[in-house]
Amino acid sequence: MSDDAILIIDDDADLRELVRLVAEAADVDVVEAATCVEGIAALRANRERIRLVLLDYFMPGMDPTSCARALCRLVDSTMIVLCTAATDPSARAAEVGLSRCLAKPFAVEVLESLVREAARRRHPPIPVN
Amino acid sequence: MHLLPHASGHVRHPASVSVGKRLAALVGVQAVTAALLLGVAFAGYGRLVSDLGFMRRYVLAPIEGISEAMENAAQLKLAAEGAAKSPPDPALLQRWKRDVGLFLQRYRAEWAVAENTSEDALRFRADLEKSNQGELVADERAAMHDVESSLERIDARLSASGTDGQNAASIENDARELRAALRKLLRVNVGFVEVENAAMERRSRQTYWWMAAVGLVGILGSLALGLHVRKAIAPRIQRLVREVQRFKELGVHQRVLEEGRDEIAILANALDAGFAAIAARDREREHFLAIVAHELKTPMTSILGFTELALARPESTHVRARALDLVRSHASRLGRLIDDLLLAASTRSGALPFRPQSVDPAALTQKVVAEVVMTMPKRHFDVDVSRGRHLLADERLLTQAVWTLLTYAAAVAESGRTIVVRLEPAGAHLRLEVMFAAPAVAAEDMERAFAPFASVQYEGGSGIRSAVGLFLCREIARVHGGSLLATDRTQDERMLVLDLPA
Repeated sequence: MSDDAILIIDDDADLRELVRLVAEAADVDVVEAATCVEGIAALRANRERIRLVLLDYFMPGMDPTSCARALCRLVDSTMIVLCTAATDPSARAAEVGLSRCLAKPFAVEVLESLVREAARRRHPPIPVN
Repeated sequence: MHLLPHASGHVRHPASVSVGKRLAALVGVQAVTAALLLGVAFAGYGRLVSDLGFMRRYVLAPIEGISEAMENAAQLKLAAEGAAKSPPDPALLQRWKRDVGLFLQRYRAEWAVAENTSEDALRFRADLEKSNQGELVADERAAMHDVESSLERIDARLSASGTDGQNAASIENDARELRAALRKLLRVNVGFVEVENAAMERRSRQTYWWMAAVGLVGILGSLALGLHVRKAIAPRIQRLVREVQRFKELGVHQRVLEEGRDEIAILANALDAGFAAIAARDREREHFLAIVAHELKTPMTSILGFTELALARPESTHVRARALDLVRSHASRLGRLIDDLLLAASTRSGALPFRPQSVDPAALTQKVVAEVVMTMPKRHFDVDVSRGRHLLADERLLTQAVWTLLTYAAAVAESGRTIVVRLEPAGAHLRLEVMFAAPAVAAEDMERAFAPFASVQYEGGSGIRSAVGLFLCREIARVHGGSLLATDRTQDERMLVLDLPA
């Protein structure tokens, strides 16, 4: 088990698998959740090692705003990236109180850069004096 | 297009009086004014005719009679004056005296204002009192008395001693007094003419003022009512025009509430309802397009991601196999979705393509069921199709209709319950029945799925997906000469029936 993990909350199993394949190549674990309720529980259980949360906008159960608020109570909102296929991802992110978003469909390299960002959060570069 | 909140809308005060009634009141005031003016004019004309008749009968006619009587009196006087030179003919004297006497009788019977009890005479005496000329009545009575006295004296002298010198002088004197009395009666009647003329002028002025007053009141009333009607109607119509213009230019629907019951309120509320419906339809369309975009982009994320990974990791057979599997499973559903969109667009523009051919409905149904099962592997279908009959149908449209129907049924059916699909002949028709348990969805709720741009969510193999509603399906049934119905089969079970002519 890696010390770094990404939490992916999305009802699309294919997308969860894609994130896992990309993250594992960078030695970053992926914690998967198909609903927001599962995602909140997973974040509580893995709070120490989760560096990034990828949150789908359109999911069954809890509405995205309530979901985002519940997640923001557990981690810094800058760690949460809203993934959406909606026409205006920035507006959707602002709507749920988040500042970061990822428009679907996205290139794998964008996902890889997010994974690298997650890894850097655990091992920040040493400042050069 | 957007619906602005209620608070920003204008709320009009109730207008309970209809526009028609307001205009009827305006026309009514004008009609009453015209009628009153006519009435006053007729009354004035009637009084004028009456006054002229009175003048002719009771004032001018007696003056003419008095003139003739004065002429007779003058003849009498002249004959008496010339008696010394030429003795007058007694018969002539008697005739002149008799004519004056007859005049007096007629005057008293027909013309005497002082003694007459006719309606005209009573009114004229009232006019005399009003113009402070009441003494003329006494003068008339005195003049008549003087005429009568003179005639009696002349009659006595003519009867007693003929026309000798002394008697002739007396007759001449009496005739002079008779003329003086008749002159006095003439002056009285001239006075009557002046009084009657003044009365006519007064009544004419009254008529004039009455007409002017009625006309003025009518004009002011019409003006006030017209302004009131304009104030009640024009600003509201102008506001409606502005609203229509704004909606046309900006597509912004600002609610215009008219709480009255008049025609403009009805029009405004109808416009408001129309705009609201257009705005709602626009929102539905935007929502539908957002869903469609989402439905297209979501599987594209997986397809794009896995194909990129497959290209980047050519050594990984697992990634390559998953990429190909994803492309295969999503391609079918995306193709149907795109077909749905294109056909729905054709339907909306009234150009749904219809190319009939012989179609095996049983094979078509089984093929579509297999396709839907691939998209929604958690759903179980119980298929019972009757073989052997063919349809004259557009295979592409019919396939799309059955796919939409089954996708919709799978989306709303209770989780874990089997969906029964039965295809059987029904007389000259063929019925495709799709039965499923959906206690939370009533048949009337299902009717909403027939609206354009309706959509429904369902749990697919890769998460929550959306399907288009049944609008297109019903249109496809219609172009085939058939129908699509949603009914309650039992309390918990619903049934969609696609009926097509075989």
